[in-house]
Amino acid sequence: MQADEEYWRLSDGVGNWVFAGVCLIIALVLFRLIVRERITLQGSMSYLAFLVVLGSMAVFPDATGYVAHKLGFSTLANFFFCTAIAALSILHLRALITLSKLQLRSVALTQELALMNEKLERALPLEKAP
Amino acid sequence: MRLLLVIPAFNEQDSLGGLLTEIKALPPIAGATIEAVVVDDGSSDRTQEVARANGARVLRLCRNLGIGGAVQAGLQLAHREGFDAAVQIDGDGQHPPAELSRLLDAPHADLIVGTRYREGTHGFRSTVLRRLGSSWLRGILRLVGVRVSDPTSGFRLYGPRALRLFAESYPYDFPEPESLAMARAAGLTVTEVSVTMRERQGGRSSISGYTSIYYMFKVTLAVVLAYLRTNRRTRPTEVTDAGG
Repeated sequence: MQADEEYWRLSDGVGNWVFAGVCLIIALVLFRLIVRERITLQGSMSYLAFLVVLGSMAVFPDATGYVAHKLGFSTLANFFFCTAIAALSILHLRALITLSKLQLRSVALTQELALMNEKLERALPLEKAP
Repeated sequence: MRLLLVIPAFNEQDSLGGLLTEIKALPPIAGATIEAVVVDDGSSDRTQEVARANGARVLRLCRNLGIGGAVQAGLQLAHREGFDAAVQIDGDGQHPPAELSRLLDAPHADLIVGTRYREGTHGFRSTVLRRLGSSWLRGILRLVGVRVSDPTSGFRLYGPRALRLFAESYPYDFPEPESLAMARAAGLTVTEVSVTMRERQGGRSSISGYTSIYYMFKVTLAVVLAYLRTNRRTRPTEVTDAGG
């Protein structure tokens, strides 16, 4: 049985380098997309922060285990899952807000374009007149 | 009085010609100048050509925004060009232009709704299922202080204050009941008058099958949200009964 003072040591203390590597690969893909201007840096900051947190959790399992224990988790995997789900929820909410803004803007622009086009069509015959 | 008829239309080439012909055949209304604008909501058929061929102004939306976006574009046009009022008439031919006079003769109000569910009205009254849905919406709207018998009616007259409000902000999908709650929030007066409606002359309804379940859920939520927004405002809405 683990001593009380070591109970927070939920891991074997060895970093999960495979998981950290996966985080790094995703981060590199993200960087590549930013460089090619497929996505914006501003919009990717929270995603990058999420990857850094997950990567750090993989590299420093003892610290992660300590935090997990303090939060009431008895299994490190559960803490990972909860962190990932919470982070993805926040990312999704951010994406939803951005999409909603874009949708409203897109509707307003579509209406404005139609109104200006109609105005132009009505003005053109007048300009053609002698 | 300058009056703009706002006709939202999505793939309504079959019904639009007849509707515009009826509008052109309307007897002159004393003191009123009437113009019609067809808001082509990104149709893929000949809606735009039919509208132009019949002498209507055309607002061509480059993509489909839904009924709310189309109506709002028409109301923005009316507001910007200083029209005194606008009347929304569906492009599917459900609203006979001859009934326009009933809306114009109604006592002054910011928003006048044509209703088909009051005594003394004849003509098309929709399916039993839709009428049940309409009853539910009537109840929800009553909870937020709006008493109308036909909350889904799109046959409406917007006065200057309503034009100003809805040119700025209008719900995008299934907008009719929600816009009534919005009118309440803004302290507008709402009146309803009996009108005769008929079956759509062409095209097909966007609300059918599973869409109707989504419709009821979304509209109920939207009306409640509009009511919650009213807590920030203090002016009450007068909802009057204009008879019919």
